[in-house]
Amino acid sequence: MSANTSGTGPAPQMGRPRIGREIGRGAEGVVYENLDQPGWVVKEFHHGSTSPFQARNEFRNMERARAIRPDNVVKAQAPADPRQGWLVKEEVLETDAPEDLIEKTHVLQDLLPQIPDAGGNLMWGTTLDNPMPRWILIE
Amino acid sequence: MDALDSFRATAQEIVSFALQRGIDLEPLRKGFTFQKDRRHVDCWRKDLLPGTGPANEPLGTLHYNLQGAIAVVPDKLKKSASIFRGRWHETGTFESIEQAFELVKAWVIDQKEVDDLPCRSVRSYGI
Repeated sequence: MSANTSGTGPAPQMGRPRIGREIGRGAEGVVYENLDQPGWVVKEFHHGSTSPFQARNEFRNMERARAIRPDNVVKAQAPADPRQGWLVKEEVLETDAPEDLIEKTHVLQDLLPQIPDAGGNLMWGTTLDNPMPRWILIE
Repeated sequence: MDALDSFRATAQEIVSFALQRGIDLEPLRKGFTFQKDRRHVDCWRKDLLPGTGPANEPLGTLHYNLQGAIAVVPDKLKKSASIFRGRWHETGTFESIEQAFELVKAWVIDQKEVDDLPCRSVRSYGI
């Protein structure tokens, strides 16, 4: 991985992939294209408004969810430093397949009782290494 | 209690509210999801289950999660137009069931573009 950036996002950080255009935003951070790893994105956490351990916390939360529904949660790369200000995760890719509403029911029934804010983090799509259209928890 | 009780009850609340306004959302309701063409939206209220919303939020807070096809890059991500693929996803909260109805109508029935959607509190979004 390179620590350089494309000049479109925040300043470079040691070990972080190069980032491109912003593709999303939320209360905890901004999501950017990952220029070094196709099929993955970089989530840059807001400074000050989230825990300094947000990367570690979010990674652990996703691992908990993956233990329940392995195919329905994006993979994330374990942070080398628990205080690093970013997390690399799989990108959810668009699909033309119609949404499977029965699968959504099952996924939510499994995740809602255990995973914080699962209802607001579920998307329909695919990932680069698993082209099966499915409901995927993004954080 | 079924984990999806809140989703089903909120969908029914919105259908009932819409009927008072002379609009029948029932044909668009698939279970607890409102869906038409390539757009869908779910609405629910925060309850005791952790997955229904942040821990520090009052019970009963109205949430939504929408996703689907759009034609115009929203203003918020104009600088990212080069990677826009005609899709949008967004989550947030409402202050009332009326706001929820208005968003469901605008997103699913009227197929409005993101910048033309009615009042809501957006928590996250992406292309």
